[in-house]
Formats: sequence, structure tokens, C-alpha cells
Amino acid sequence: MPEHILQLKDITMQFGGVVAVDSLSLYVDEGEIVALIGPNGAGKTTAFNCVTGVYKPTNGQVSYRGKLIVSNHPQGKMKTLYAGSDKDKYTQVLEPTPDKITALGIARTFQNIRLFKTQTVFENVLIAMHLHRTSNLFTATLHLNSKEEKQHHQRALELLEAVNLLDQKDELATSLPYGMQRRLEIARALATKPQLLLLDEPAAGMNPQETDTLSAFILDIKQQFKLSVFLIEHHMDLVMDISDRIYVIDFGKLIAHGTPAEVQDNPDVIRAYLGVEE
Amino acid sequence: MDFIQANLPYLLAGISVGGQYALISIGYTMVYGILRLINFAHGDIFTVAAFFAVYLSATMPLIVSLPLTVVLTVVLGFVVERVAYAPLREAPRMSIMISAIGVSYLLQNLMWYITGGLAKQYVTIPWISSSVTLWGTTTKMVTLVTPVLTIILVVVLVQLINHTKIGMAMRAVSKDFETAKLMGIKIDAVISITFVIGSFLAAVGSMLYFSNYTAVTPLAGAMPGLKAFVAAVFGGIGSIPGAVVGAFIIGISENLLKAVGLTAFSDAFTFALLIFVLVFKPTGLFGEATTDKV
Amino acid sequence: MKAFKIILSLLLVASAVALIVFVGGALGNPDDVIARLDADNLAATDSKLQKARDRALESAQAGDREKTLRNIDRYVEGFGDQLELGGQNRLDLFFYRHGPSLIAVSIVVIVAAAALLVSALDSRGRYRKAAIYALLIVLLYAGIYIVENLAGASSMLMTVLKKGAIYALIAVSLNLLNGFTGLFSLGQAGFMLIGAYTYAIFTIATENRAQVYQYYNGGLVQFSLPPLVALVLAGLAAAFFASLVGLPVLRLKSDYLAIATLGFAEIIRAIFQYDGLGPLTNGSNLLRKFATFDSALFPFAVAGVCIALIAMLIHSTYGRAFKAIRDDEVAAEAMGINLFRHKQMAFVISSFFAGVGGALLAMFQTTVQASAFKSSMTYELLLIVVIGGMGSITGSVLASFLFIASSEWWLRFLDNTQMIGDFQVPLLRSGFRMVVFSAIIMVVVLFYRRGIMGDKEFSLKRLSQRFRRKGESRNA
Repeated sequence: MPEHILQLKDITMQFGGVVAVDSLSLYVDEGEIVALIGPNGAGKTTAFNCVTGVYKPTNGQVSYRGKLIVSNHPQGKMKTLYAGSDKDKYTQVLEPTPDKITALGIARTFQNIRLFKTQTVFENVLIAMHLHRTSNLFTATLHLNSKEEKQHHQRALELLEAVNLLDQKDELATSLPYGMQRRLEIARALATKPQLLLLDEPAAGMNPQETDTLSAFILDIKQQFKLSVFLIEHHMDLVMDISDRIYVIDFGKLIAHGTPAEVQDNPDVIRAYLGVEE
Repeated sequence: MDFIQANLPYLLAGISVGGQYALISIGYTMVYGILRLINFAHGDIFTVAAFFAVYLSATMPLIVSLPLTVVLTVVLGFVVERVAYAPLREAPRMSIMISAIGVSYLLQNLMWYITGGLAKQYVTIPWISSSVTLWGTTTKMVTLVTPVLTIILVVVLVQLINHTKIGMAMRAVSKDFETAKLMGIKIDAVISITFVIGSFLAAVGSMLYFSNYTAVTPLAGAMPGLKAFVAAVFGGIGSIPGAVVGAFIIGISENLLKAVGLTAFSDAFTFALLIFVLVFKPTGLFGEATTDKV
Repeated sequence: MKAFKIILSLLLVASAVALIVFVGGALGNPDDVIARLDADNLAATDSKLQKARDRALESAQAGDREKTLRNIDRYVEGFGDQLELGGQNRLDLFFYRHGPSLIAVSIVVIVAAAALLVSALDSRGRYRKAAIYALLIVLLYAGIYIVENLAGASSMLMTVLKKGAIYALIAVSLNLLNGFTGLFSLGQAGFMLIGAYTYAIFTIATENRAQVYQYYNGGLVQFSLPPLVALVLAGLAAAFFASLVGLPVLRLKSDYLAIATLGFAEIIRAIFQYDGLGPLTNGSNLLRKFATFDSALFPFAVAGVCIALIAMLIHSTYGRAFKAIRDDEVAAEAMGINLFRHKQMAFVISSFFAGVGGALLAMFQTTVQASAFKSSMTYELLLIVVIGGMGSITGSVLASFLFIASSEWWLRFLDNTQMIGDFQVPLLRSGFRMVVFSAIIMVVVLFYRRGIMGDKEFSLKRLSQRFRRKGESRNA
């Protein structure tokens, strides 16, 4: 069996007394598009943040291509406060900062778009190339790395072309319309040369037509850049359209898992979304 | 016994200075709690209050001049907020902090201009400035009055914040600025009142502080101001009891350092303490932790 | 066209070289002038004039041009109408006086010719920009040199230029942190202090040490380094301290960082004044008699190189990473930028240049004392950065010169009581200058928050574009 590209084991995230994510386990395989869905406040973004190193999970482990990248167990104050399960399962502590995770090949976008606001579209993508520099502080300052710099410029242009933003390259990133900002965020993430792309509500704020375009776009870049995709989304059309598998969580707990068709018919899912029928 | 005898003056001075720092640091901590602003000009307002007292007392009896000093200081604090901070409400936090530094610079230069850069003799307040002997140590009355007065004022203030409507508004604004605004709290009024209270306490603190010294110079308040801020951070910024405890700790320890002959490092010690606290317990003694949303 | 350019540039070079040769010959010495003056008349009858003449001769032999000229002037003026300078004398004096300026002009001409030659031969325009920059730089330095020769090294104009250049370097170093990396640091005065002291300690001449360190048996250090080496060492010392300070404080958020760095600067100040370190720092006493500079060219050259390095850094991939951190830390980290490492980098580099700037300031002042490096110095620098525009190097440079010129020179009149007839102009007396000055700063902070340049840079391209646009709108 080939290794999963991403695997979460018993991830629990507790803020004070609130358990935002409760013992979540899931995996993404090479070349798959996997969606994580759930009602508002179900803990989807929190789960994302545990993978990308923004939060340190209270308990649980994350592996990337079989290699352990994040690991934690309840410590300090949390030892007594901890309300999740699998308390004593893990002993190792591994808390990389987000840049380390990105360097491994996991890139992300943000729910509430976070572009570099004083920079142009082109510069936004160029900044993400910094990760793969070979120049050091001195060679870069003395501009002895012009060859690499040229390559980076070239690649940034290619990426902008791939997301169809070449004409806007010299505009201020934040002056773009919403849909384009989303595409720019994806281009920027691609510039870090990821193998796994995490998309946090890529269709938020889009109309049905734009969402359709986005579906095609995600499939397209997945092909073009040989990606695996893990996404959070509210637009069911998009999720059902492109996902290979879907995980559903509610109140931080996994309530269903399967192909789009399976999940659609799952009574637990319907209850979570529509409320309990009397 | 000899040891105590020798160090008692330092301890008394420490408690006294601590109380004075406490009165200043409340102004810092309240403003920070509400605006997330280090009001760099607060120490200068404290100094200006001293000059108000000096110049007013030259022409009128103390019974008039001292209350008037308090009133004028409060007006100054109010005006500074309105002119220099209120227009920057929507600006990045760095801008408003720079504005505070600008106000501090302006106030210092104004004081220099008016005094001609000379030290001015501070007013002698009867009773408060008189000497008193305690366990064989001679000190000024102000040394004994300060901690008592500080604690009375703090208790009153805490009651005000916990049990009045305006106090509730203040707590709401410091908890969540945006939501408080949406709930119909008049933000500008709350901020103004915060500055008024802060300036009032600074004026009282100024009278007590400078009664200990013979003269006041335009830069005399800069260092106590910074230390009071450190006290506020030490106690956990935003927390009034924290600021008071922090101020007493700093006041006492810097005077004890003087007692053991490390006078040169008494200022540096305060900042070393600050950095120590920031690194190991950024929320201070009584502060609350906050998390950022991504 | 090409041939014309080549011929013109060759002609220019030829004439410039001719001028240099000619001036070089005439520059020789003023002995002839003095001898001729002696012969012309008038062996000086007045003892004062005699003295001036002797002094002129003496300093001419010592090679002190400025002093020679001053004494010749005094001598000639002393005679008043009695003395008519002959044509040859006038010519010799003119060349002696303005020779260096003429040589500077010749050098500019040669560089201009070279630029012209480049533009003629370089059909693809690859080196055009470099040629223009080279020409502008030479023009700037030649200009400073000529102005210094005309106005005198100790004139108010030159004082302002020297101090302005030093402040420009420090302001740009602060801008690298505050404006480009978004780190609100208030420790710059502390790092300047380290730089100034390191420089001063290592360049006091060995024979003067006993005198300077009179309370500490001549001090600990018993050797001197060349100024340039000490200057680099000053930067390194500041950078070293910064890397230590940075470890704990750079993890703090904006305003906590500000107060922590401010605190560190105060601690550093206390340490340097500490009596126990007297053999090294001279305690709370002045350090003096260390190597200094006379000509404004020195601070301009050092500051110029340093600012150019900072500008190149900002335009590199690291500079882009700094700006990304400023704009959005979370996003920058998600793009694989190691926050702490890059913040530390910006902090250490900024401190290095603050250290060099502090050393230059010590040279400018000729003495240095730790008590002068107060937090108000950092505040002043911060205000300069704000006036120039956070995130604009040219803005900081411009604002530094404006700030120094206003505070030291242009607003001076506000400090003096002025009488118009019997009427004394109100308010004007000592201290008013700084009040007006700080009020102006408040206006900038409140109403022109973006400063002179915002986050844009001054460049010829933008300027020409602007003029073109204006022209177009006028034509339309």
C-alpha cells in the first residue's frame, strides 16, 4: 500500500475549556482531492491550522508521506484541563513553525484572503519564491544572484499565466476583484512548489457561475502541477463536483466519511446541516 | 537592628516612590487596556503638572493653585487625546504610537521654552513637606502619606470601574473595541474619561513625587514615566491592581539597589526586569492571555 | 551621430586633462605670489601684516591651503587701496584658491565624457543606467567638494551636510526595521552608543591615552586601529549586541518590542557609564582625542556606501521577504519565510549600520559621552523616518537633511530676540525653535501621515514621468 501523502491521527485542539477539534483522524492520498466539510464553527479551519503549524494541537499527530511532522500530547495546564480522548497515546512533541511545513511541500491559502497588501500581483508571487533561493544574504545583497533572480521572475510570470493574471501583474494585489485575489493566493501558494495544496474555503463569497469556473480551475491546476488537494468548503456544488472523498465534521468530531454520493445520503450529515427533524 | 536602621530610609523611600509610580502607571495601563496604545506622553503630562503647580502657586495661595493644577492637568490630558490620538483611531497602531512620541517631544520642548531650560523650585506643601521622625529615621510626611493615599484612590477607582455604568463601558471597550462600538457604547466618551482619570492620578502623583525633591526640570518626568509603564507591564497591562503591585515592587527594589550601592544600575534594573517579564511571562503578573485568530 | 558623440567625448577628455595639467602646475605653491608681493612694494610696515605674511609662508610650507589663503587675504586686505594686485598675482591666487575645485570639475567632465562614450558604443543600452548613475554620483561628490572649498569646512552649510549625511545613514537603518520589516524598535540610540564607543576606544592615539583615561591609569586598551578598521569594528560590535538582544525580544509583538528595545538601550547606556568598566569606557567621563574627519567627503562616502548596501538589500529577495513580514506575518510564514531568522537578520543588519552611524557621529562631535544617547535621540530618528515616509529610503535621506538643516540652521532665528524698531517680536527667545519644530512634526504626523515620500522612492524615471504627464495634461 502506498503511503498517504497526509495523515492526521487523533488530532485534538482545545482552547481553554472548548474542544474545537476532537480526536480527528483522516488521510489524503497522492493525487486525490479530499474535502473537509461541516457547519460553521465545526472546527475545519482549526484542523487546517494544526496541520500547517499555526496552532500546536493539544494532542495527536500529523504525518506527511509517512514522516511524522507534528506531534503533541497534553502538557502543563492542559494535563488537568484536557477533555478530549486518547490522552496517553502520544508522548512525542514535535512543533514545527509554519515555514517548516511549507518547506516540506504543503502550501495553503486563507479563508479571509491574506495577500501582501502593499505589493503588486507579481511581487506577491515572487515573495513566495524566497523559499527556494540558493543565494545567501551576501550574494543576494550584492546582486550576484542575477541568474537565479531571472529564473524566479520567469517562473512567477509562468505561474501568473497559469492562473490567468498576467495582465494584472503590475497592479496592487489588494486592488484586484475578489475572485482574482483568490486565484492570486493560489498562484502564490504554487510558487512554493507544493505537492499538497490546502485550500481554505476557496469559493467563499463567489456566485454560482464563478464557483463553476473555480471547480474547473482547481481540477486544471491539480493536473498541471501534479498536486494532491485538501480543501475546506461550504459550496456543496463545488465539493460534490470535484472531491474524490469527503470528511464531515460537526462540533469538532468526525461524523461521516466517504465518496460524495455516500456522504450526501448519510442521515447524520443531513441532521448536522438541517437540524434534527421532529 | 542596625541593618534595619541603616536600610529603613531606603525601604521607606521605596514604598513612597512605589506609590507615586502606581499613580502614574494606572494612567498607562488604563489607556493601554482600551486603546492598545503606549501613551509615551503620559510621563510628560506628569511633569507638566509639576510646572502648573510651580507657576500657579507663584501668584495664588496653595489652596487655590493645587486644585487648579489638577483641573488643568486633566484638561491637558483630555486635549492631547482629542487632538493627537482621536484623529488616528482608524490608523495603524504604529501611527498612533508615533503621534504619542511626537506629543512627548512637543511637551518637553514647550516646557524647556517656558522655563528657559532651568530647574524650578518645587512648591512646599505644608504638612506634606514637613519632616517626621520614624523609628529613628527622619523622612518627609509625604513618604507616609503616599502609600495610604494611593491605596485609597485605587480602591475608589476599582469600585468605580466595577460598579458604575461608565466603568462597565470601560471594561466592555477594553475587552472588545469593535463589539462595544456595535453595542452602542460611546467609544469617544469612554476614551476621554480614561484620559481624564489617568491625568487626574498623574497630577496627584506629580504633587507627591516632586514634594520629595527640591526642583523640577522639563525632563524630570521622563524616567519615572517610563518606569511606571514598566510597572504596568510587570503587573499585567490592562490590570489596575497589577499596575499598583508592579509599581510598589519596582519602587522598593530600585531603592534597595541604591542601599547596596548599585545606584548606577537602579534604572537599568527596572528595564532588565521588564525584559525578563516580557520574555518569560508576557502577560505579566495579573494579565490575561489573548490568542490571535488566523 | 555616433561618430559625433565619440569625437565630442574625446575632445572633452582632452580639455579636462589639459585643465588638470595646467591647474596642477599652477597649484604648486604661493611662495611666488608672496615673493612678488614683497617685491612689488611694500615690505610690510605694520607688524600685524608682517605676521600675516610670515604665517602665510609658514602654512604654505606645511601644506595647509586654507590657512595660507586666509593669511594672504588678511595681508592683501591690510594694505587696502595701497596695494594693486598684478594680473599674474591674481591669476596665481585664483588657481591656488580654486585649483582643487577646478580639478573636481575636470573629473566630472571626464566621467561625463566616459558616459557619453558608453552611450555611443553601447547600442543595446545595457550600460546606460550604470553610466548615468556613475555620472550622478561623481557629480554629487564633486559638488560637495567644491562647495566645501568655497564655503569652508567649518561653515554652517558644511556642518549641516555632515551631520545630515550621518543622520541619513542612521535613519535609513531605522527605516529598514520600522518601515520595511514592520518591527517597531526603539533601541537605535543604544546601538549607536555601542558603535560610537567602540570606534572611540580603538582610535585614541596611544600617546593620548594617559591623558584621556586620567582616572583609570591610561585605560585598558593600549593600541590604536586605523579609522576604517575601527569603523567596521563599531558596526560589528553593535551587530553582535543586537544578535544577543534579538534572541529574547524579537519574539515579542509590536508595542512590547518597542518598549523592550527601549529598555535595552537604557541598560546599555547604564553599563557604559558604569564606573567598574572605566578602564575600557572611561566611566561617565568624555572620550576624546580619537581620529576624526575634516572633510564632508568622508561621512558622505561612508554613509553613501552603507545606504547603497541597505538599498541593494531591500531590492533583493531578502528585502522582499522583509516587506512580506511587514505586510502580513501569518501569510509570510505560510510562504515558507522563517519569521524569527528574517527578523533577526533585519535587526542585526540595522544595528550594524546604526553602529557605523554612531561612530561617524562620534567623529563629527570629536568627543563622545554615553549620557547623550538617550531615548529622545531614537525618538528624533523615528520622527525623521516618519517625516520622510516609512518604507522610503530616499524619503529618510531627504528628511534627515531637512531635519538637521531646520533644527540647526534655518529655524535658528526663532531662538534670538528680534527687534523691529522699538518693538520686540513676541515669543522669540531661546527654546522657541524647538517648540515650532516639534509643532511642525506633529502636523506631519497627524495630517501627512505618509510623510514626504510615502513608501515610494525618488527616482529620475518617476520624476520624468511626472513632468511628461504634467506636460500632456497641459497640452490637452
